[in-house]
Order: sequence, then structure tokens, then C-alpha cells
Amino acid sequence: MQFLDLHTGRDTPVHRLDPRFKLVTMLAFLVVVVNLRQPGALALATAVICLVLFTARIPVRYVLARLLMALPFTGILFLIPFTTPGHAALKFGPASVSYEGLSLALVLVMRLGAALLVTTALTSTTPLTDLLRAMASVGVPTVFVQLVHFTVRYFSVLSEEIATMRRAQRSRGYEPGSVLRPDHLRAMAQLIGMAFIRAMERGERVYRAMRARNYREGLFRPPSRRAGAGEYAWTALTGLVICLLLLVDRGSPL
Amino acid sequence: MMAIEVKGVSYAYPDGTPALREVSLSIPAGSRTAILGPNGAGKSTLLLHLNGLLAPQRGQVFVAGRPVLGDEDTWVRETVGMVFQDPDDQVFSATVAEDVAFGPQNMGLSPEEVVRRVKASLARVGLRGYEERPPHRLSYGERKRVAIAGVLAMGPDILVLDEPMAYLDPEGRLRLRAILDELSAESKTLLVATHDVDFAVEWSDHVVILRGGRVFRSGGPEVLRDAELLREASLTMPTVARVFAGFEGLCRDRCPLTVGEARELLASIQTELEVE
Repeated sequence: MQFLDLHTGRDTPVHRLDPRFKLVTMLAFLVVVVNLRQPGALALATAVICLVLFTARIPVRYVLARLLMALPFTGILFLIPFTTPGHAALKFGPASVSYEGLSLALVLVMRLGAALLVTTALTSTTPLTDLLRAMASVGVPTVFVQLVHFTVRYFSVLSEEIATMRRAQRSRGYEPGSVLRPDHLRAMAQLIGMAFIRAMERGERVYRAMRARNYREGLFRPPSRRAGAGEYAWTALTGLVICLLLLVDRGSPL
Repeated sequence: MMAIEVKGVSYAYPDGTPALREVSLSIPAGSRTAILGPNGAGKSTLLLHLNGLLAPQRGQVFVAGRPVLGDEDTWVRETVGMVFQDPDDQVFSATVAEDVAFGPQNMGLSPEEVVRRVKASLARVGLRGYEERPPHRLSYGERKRVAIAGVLAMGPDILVLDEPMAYLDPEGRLRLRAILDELSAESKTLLVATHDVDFAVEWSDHVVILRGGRVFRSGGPEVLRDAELLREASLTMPTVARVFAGFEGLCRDRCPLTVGEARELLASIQTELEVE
């Protein structure tokens, strides 16, 4: 998970914002964005986030790479123009593409893109630790925060364990090939099973070590930083942008 | 004054495998004790009893004269600091400072005191300036030192370390030795579980040998001179003792065990040769 905190160390107005404010405002923005219906409003929202990303000096290549990661999940969207009933725009033999389907697909793709840009803006300008602390202090349940935290902390440990096991398999002449071959399937299943058992044992040892230091509840303490003028200005600005988006989209703020 | 007293402790794992049988031992305050034994002799299980992570099924454990009852004992965790073998099991926080602060925060100390202890502990293990580093990007030896700092921050009088030298590179070993020596100079009681007899003869002043869940022998490091005993305990002879075995004629009153003793002996032999 080396890519996680790649650009969070920069010093820009967006990076300097209190993580709690960033988290709440960006979440609110996210909720509004995924409920927009007009391509025009979505384009405006996208432009606003791009402006934030530009201010935070996040490289375009990095943002595009993050967008590309979501590409596999967009496959289903290509079916929508075919399956939505309405006026035919194009015909491919028995299949036809409807205008309604096309515009629906466009809105969905734009929503997805804008939502990804929002999360990229949040995670690329906030160190993960700060983000977790912010989550805990705005009331996200401790169990969930700890889940994210332990996933990140132990990802490299577990992937190193799996890599070692794979190297050990290879060094005894095993070449991973087709999952259709029974012996390959068995080797893979054993690797996965072993990885699970190791993770479970690791979990027990980690918990024991935590108890050895008198672990009780609540891992994350709220940050001591206090919100200043920048935070309130940012929040007001976000509120204004949200109102503007809703006006463009629905003709009224609510 | 005994730092730790273990009286007739027996423990079997849930599957019925006995791990400790009637173990009794006393650890003097301020001593450097090596608990020796092959894998499976019960070293780790014994250590887990020393700060209440396991409760004895029979017998009793006393720390500084107080009985250890089990999991609800928070005082014993502040008296006996436990450094586990794999730092990845112990150092779980997102930053070094947070991890070192974990114990003090659980003790309910004030934020100022927590910060003070984090700084002081990191300085003691030579990791000043590492506060905001994420542990998963540190070297193994550095993570080990973070683990030790996290325990020192709780201010324990007794430190228990499970195989502390395992997987460390030579520099990491030297640094760890220096840290242990410093703690010993502060008259902390140190307990190290290991199967490294060379480390035990060089470092400890008290040795406990476990075998099959029982105390096989305890005493000063000179018990590690006994080749027969070591073979029975499935341990090897210290390297220096192996070198001098069969050359008893060269030794003065007793054969050397440590590198230092061996060098002294060789120096005196050389002087004699020069005189002749």
C-alpha cells in the first residue's frame, strides 16, 4: 500500500485543512454529487473538484491512474443504453440503443467519475493516520476505524508472507499455471488456506501484545488541532457550491 | 529481594498438551537472567505467565511479592514489560509515536506526560526523530527498538524479552546489547528467553534451563560449562568452551567460557612464552 500516502506530504491550502472538516465537507459533497441528474450540473461538480486537485498540486497522471482503477467496474454501464426502453437512436440488428439509455449511462459514468475524484482529493491530501483519527472523532464506530487501520498496517506484512510462500513453492519447481489443472488448483488453495491461518494466528499474537500493554477500548484520540478561519471558509465555500449545484440540477436548492 | 517468584506452576494448552510442569524459580531483582531451552521447552509459555497474559492452572506467580491473578491485573503489566519476538506482532500503530504512546495512554496518564514518556523512550533506544515514521517502512531492527520503546514508556522495573536477538543483523544485535546493558545499569531486572548459549554466557549473571516444561537446572552462567548437562537439555556448548574442550592442561584454575576470558588466558600464555 505504498501508493496510499504518496502525495499527502505536500504543503498546500488543501493539505493544511483540518482533516475533520475535509472529511465531513467532502462526504457531504459526495452525497450531493451521486444524486445529481443533469450532465451540466455533474460537469460543474467535476470542474470544482478538478480545481481542488489542481490547488493541491496532485499530478494529473496520478489522478488518471486512480480513475483507471475503477474501469473494470464500469463494464455493466455499457449495457444500459441497450436495455433501457425508449426512442431508438441506433440499431444493431435486433439490438437497439435508446436515447434515454444513452443519457442515463452518461449520467452514471459522470457520477462515478466525479465520486472517484472526490475520494481521490480527500485521500491524496490527507495522511491516512489523520483521516482515521478524523473518522473516529466525527463518530465513525471504533470497530470500523480499527478495521481500516489494521488492514493498512498489516497489508505489507501479509503480502510479504504470501510472496515468501510463493517463492518457496517456485523453488521446489512449481510454476503457477492454469487454475484448471487440479494440481495447480490444489497448490493455490493450500497457499490461500495457509495465508488465512497465518493471518489468524498473527491476529491472536497482535491482540496478546496489545493486552500486554493494557489495551482497553478506543485506539484513536481526536487531534488536538483547532479549526481556524481557513476551515470555516472552506466549509462555507463547500455549502455554497452544493447550493449552486442543486440550483443548476433541480432549479431549487432543496 | 526477589523480582519474580514462580511457585509450582503448571499449564497445559487447550488441546491438552502440557507446556509447563511444576515450574518453580526465583529471579533476583536487578539480575540479568537467561531462560534457556530448545524450542518447545516451555520458554514462551513461561514468559506469558509473568505478566498475567496466561493464568497458571496450578501454582502461583508473584511479582515484587504480589500474586499475579490473571487477565484483569493491570498493575502487573506496568511492572513487567513484555517484548515479543516478532515486532510486527507488537508494533501495530500507524506511526512510531502513536505506538510508543499506546501503553502510557492505557495507563491513563495526562497527554503531557504521555508526550514526555514517548520522547524519553525513543531517545533511550536511539530513535529520536522517528516520531512520525510509519512502522511498516522501518527496518526490522528499528521496529524491534520501537517495540522496546513502547514497553519502556510504561516504566516497568522488569523487562521480559522473547528471543530478542532473532533475525537481527550484526549491527542490530550490537545496538540491542547496548540497550540491554544500559537498562541493566539502571538496575532493571532483565529476563531473556533464548536458545543462544553464546549470548547467555556473555550477557547473563543467572541462567535457568528448561527442558520438557520443567526447570532442568538453574544457577550462574558456569552451569553452561557442563557438556553432559547441555547435551541432555538439547543445547549446544558455548563456542569458547568447545574450543578449549580437550585443552584443560592449558587452562589455569578453570577453562574460559566467554570471549573475554579466552583472550585473557591466551594473553597470559603468550606472556609466559615470551618470558621463556
